[in-house]
Amino acid sequence: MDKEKTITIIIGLTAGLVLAGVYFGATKIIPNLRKPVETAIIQPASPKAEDTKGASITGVDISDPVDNSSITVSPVTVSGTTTPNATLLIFGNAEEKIASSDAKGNFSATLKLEEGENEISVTNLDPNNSSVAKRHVTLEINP
Amino acid sequence: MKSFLTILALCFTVSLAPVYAIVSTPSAAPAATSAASKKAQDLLDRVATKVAELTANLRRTYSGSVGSLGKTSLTITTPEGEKSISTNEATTYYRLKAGSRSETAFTGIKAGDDLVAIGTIDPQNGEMTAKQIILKIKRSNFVGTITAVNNGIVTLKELGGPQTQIDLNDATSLKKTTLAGKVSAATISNFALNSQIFVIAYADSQKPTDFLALKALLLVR
Repeated sequence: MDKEKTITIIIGLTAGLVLAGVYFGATKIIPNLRKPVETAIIQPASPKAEDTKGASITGVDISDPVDNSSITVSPVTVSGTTTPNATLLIFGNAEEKIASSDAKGNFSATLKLEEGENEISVTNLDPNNSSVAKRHVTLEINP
Repeated sequence: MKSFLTILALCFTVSLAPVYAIVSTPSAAPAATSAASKKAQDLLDRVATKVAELTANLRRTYSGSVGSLGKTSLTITTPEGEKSISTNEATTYYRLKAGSRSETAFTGIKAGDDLVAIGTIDPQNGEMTAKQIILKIKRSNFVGTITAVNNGIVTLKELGGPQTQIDLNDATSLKKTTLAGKVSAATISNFALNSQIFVIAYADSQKPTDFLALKALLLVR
């Protein structure tokens, strides 16, 4: 191998090693330098269940109170999901309330209970989506 | 000159090969993080489900009419079948009647009484140990449309359900509400055919298929 080729190889290797050294040095100093590679393989987050639940429901789903449960204080919070922007009638032994669901179909209202067992109904008053759900909840007696 | 450039490019490429290899190989770290996050979420979901189950078991109620009575235990008939309830010295007893409350005892319970028992349920056999027993005539919640009216007795067709006869008598609290939530007093004449009504009623002891209304609410659209 002649002198010219040897010098060329040395120059090429040196230049390459210098650039490689610069790259590795930079990644240690700036850890996020490789971030574009990482973000490329992260899957997009799936939508949360509560975000889509209201959009698909056709009836009334009461999430709270749990059926056949007991509580120690009145009023109770009645919440759940139904069709979006619906008018609801929440009807119980001691009180009744008109309520509305939001754009996602979520609703929530407080309702007074009488001592002992109460049966609560939540009715969607939209004539096109008329439906009802019921729950039994008992208000314990505090001596 | 051509061979000079070729050798230079070759050496340059060889020197940078490790950098290219690292940059083009996706790191395992994000995948590992994602898997760990999924495991943590699964664990949280399992814990939440277990807590919900325990809560449901710890503070449950059985409601129905009394079938048989033992010395300190009884059975009631519920919509889910017959349930056994045991009591102990810590159990409290109340009777609710005509808006008033009185304390009672296990001996005050009779076959056929309506009651609700609050307590903990043994998941093995479904038997409840009652913390409190409340004796009260069972009240039912009806939602539906009036299909017939006759002397204050309305026939109600429930949403997707059966028809029930309900007596709106002098003791019934009659109200009407608008969609805006304005509630006012109503009279029996307001309860016309095809009206949507909401009723709290209890079974007539003489004719258990018919009901006597405590309160009735008419929806005015």
